[in-house]
Amino acid sequence: MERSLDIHHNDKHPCHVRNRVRELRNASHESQSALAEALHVSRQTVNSIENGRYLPLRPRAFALARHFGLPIERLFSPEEEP
Amino acid sequence: MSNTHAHHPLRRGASAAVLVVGGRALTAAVWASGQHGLALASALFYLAAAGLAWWWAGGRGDVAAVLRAEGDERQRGLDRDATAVTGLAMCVAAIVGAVVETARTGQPGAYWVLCLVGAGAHVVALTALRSRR
Repeated sequence: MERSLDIHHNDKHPCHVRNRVRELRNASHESQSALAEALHVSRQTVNSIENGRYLPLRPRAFALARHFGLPIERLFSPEEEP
Repeated sequence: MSNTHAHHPLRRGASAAVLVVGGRALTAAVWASGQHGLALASALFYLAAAGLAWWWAGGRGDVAAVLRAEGDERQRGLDRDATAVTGLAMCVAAIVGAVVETARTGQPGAYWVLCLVGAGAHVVALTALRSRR
């Protein structure tokens, strides 16, 4: 299941950033704690990312993508409002 | 950084140490003013607060990580935002204090210093930080 986070890159065009972290983590049978350890963040931060409450900084986002062996755009994808 | 890891024991005492040092300074000041009973009460209060901080910092949550000064990027962001809210609350209190004090006595008292420090710090911080992003 994809989660999305609302960000506003300008006032007229809000942008939703979706991520597939939970889906990929579940597919690899990995716990939140194990992923947190691999990324050097707290379990709470992994949970916030998965729930779309927190958008990680770029180095961490790239680390996440590297962890799952995917290009970053397959993990995080912006979705413009119509 | 995972909170499943054991944290550094010295980190756990970071916030407690600040409370002990700050409380000790305040206690010494109150003692020097001759209010010995109040000084003892102050010492007990800060010791209790330091104990609470030590206990809380041993936990696994976001607040515990911030109290240990070892949070990840999200937790540091939470701490930064909370610090900004704290600063705003203190600025509002200083401005309200200056207005009320001026209405009561005709002088803003020490509140104007707080207002000046707040305004000055904000301008300096904006100027310094804008070059970093």
